[in-house]
Amino acid sequence: MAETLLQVENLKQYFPVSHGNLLKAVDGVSFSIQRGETFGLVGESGCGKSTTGRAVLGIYKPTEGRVLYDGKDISTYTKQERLQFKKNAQMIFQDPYACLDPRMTISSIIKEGMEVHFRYTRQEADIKVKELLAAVGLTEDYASRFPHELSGGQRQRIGIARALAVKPEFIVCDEPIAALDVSIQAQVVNLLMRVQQERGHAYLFISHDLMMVRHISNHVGVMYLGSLVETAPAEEIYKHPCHPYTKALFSAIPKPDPDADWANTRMKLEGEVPSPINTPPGCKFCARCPYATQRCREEAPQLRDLGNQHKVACFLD
Amino acid sequence: MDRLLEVENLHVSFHSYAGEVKAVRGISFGVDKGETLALVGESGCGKSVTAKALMRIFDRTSGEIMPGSSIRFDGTDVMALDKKALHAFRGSQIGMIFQDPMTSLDPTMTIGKQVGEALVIHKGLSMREAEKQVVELLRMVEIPNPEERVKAYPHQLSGGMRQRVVIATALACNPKLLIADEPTTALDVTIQAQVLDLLRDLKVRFGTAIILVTHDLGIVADFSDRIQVMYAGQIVEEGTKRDIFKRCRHPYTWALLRSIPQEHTTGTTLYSLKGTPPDLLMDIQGCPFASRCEYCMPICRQKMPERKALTDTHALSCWLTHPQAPKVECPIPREGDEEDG
Repeated sequence: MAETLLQVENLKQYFPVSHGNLLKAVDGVSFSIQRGETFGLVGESGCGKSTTGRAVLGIYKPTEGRVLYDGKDISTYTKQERLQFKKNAQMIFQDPYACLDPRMTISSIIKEGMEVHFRYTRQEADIKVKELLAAVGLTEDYASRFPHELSGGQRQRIGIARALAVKPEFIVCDEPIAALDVSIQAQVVNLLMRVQQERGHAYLFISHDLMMVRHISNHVGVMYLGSLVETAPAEEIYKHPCHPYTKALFSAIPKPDPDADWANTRMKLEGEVPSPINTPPGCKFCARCPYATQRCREEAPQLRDLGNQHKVACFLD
Repeated sequence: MDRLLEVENLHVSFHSYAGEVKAVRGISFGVDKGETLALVGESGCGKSVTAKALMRIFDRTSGEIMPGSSIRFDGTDVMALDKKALHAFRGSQIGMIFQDPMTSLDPTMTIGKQVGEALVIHKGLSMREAEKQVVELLRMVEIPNPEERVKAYPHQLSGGMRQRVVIATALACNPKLLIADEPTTALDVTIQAQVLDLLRDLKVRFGTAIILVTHDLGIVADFSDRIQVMYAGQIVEEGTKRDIFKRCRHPYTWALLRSIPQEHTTGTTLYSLKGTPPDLLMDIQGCPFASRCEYCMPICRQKMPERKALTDTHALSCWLTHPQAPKVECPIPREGDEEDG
């Protein structure tokens, strides 16, 4: 079980912007994902979580650092290995309206990946499509339909079926439920968890929905302005958050309980996320942190181990 | 408390090529002065349409408030207002905050001009006088450096700041009612918390009534006094915050509450509703929720249940409240709940 599938080492992803400035979208992130587990990546918009998700699939060439998949650096892959990696690592996107080609039938959308990676006959492929549709809870008559005939939840199921079609070991889910209604979100998350149990692939689950991440993840990483500030097993991080940002972020979730008195009991955070262009040295969070000291402004804290696989990038104890 | 708004038998329809989409189907409700009412439900349930109907912001080509609907606001019959009176009514009596602050602000106008516009139109101030008040308004919504920011354009502000500008615009003429349509949906959680704090603070300071339209039950539990749960253009259950979260009786409300992940649900299968909401092009026979309801009885498919008041505040439309209906226990585990109703 505890076999590392994906290891990200000091990943940096910078983008050049106007006037020779650098936008540091991801700035030195390290984490690892075990086979068959779900790693939840949370943070506010612009913190670099989606960029991280894309970088681990090799969509970007990292500015610095490495992504090791099954122990091998993905940037050193040969053409053959790269094809194999593209089969093993799949992605599910946020917007179920934009990620399906409107001119293709559901069946051809699902078959497209299979045709590249497997040598199925037409009959075999049709059977596979039926199986996949059944696996994501749709009937086989959806195969001949077009995406516009489907609701958002159904389209997201097609996105999942398409990813599963090539039998991946690892799926990056980039905000898969953000565009869906509450009751449909539950359906899609249940589906993601069920197919994981049946097929044993790993997820990198990127979301800003903190409660859903807690629900689905084994491990959780919290990002702020391109840095991973805290990572731990899901229950540990939600019960004992250590980084001031994690604490503030978790306490900012409104609780569906009329007696919670959330307005008065939560930790308040002043200000907004600063621009990721030309960030100053030191801890990225220090401008908004109520406990910031001189040291935080000068020196960037590194992730340190607190035991129980709990790591935090903060000087505070 | 005094009634501020009284809506009776509101019907709103959209005319499309496929036919008449009946988005809101005969709802009645009221809002007291200084009260916060939340409209909750999934997309397409008619909550935003209801909010827009209160200000009659439909032109003939899009939506139509059907004859027989009545909206009374603070003694005014809103349905009877002519074009000019309606223009004066909007903005001065009711303010509105939309979901997406970028699309509700004009990208070609400075913040000062935009917020000041309402003051010039409704209060008859000169542009210069208005600018002075705008600075005060921006200070009120806690925008740092208001003297500088009046000269900024919307694209120069962050999402949270833009939503504060929208709030300032909505409050410029001291409206008695503020309609907030998903005001924090486009914002990050920590910014959402700041904006909700601001709204709460303004509500207490000015005694403004608020109608909050949202799908986020967490925000509702924290922010509202009363809640109306909508489904397929109808109000299926209404009550105080405690009525809905602790004593709800409608299967749809149960389903909504059960589908949110919480501490004790980690790793388990979340409850999820089967099926999809009914097609609003069709006439719905019986209860709109019947086809998705676990407790559906033959009568549910034939006849719409009457609204039944359980207490002064708590009412619902469900055949399960009928004396001959089987007794159904609420499927939500309720720890530490004292039955004081």
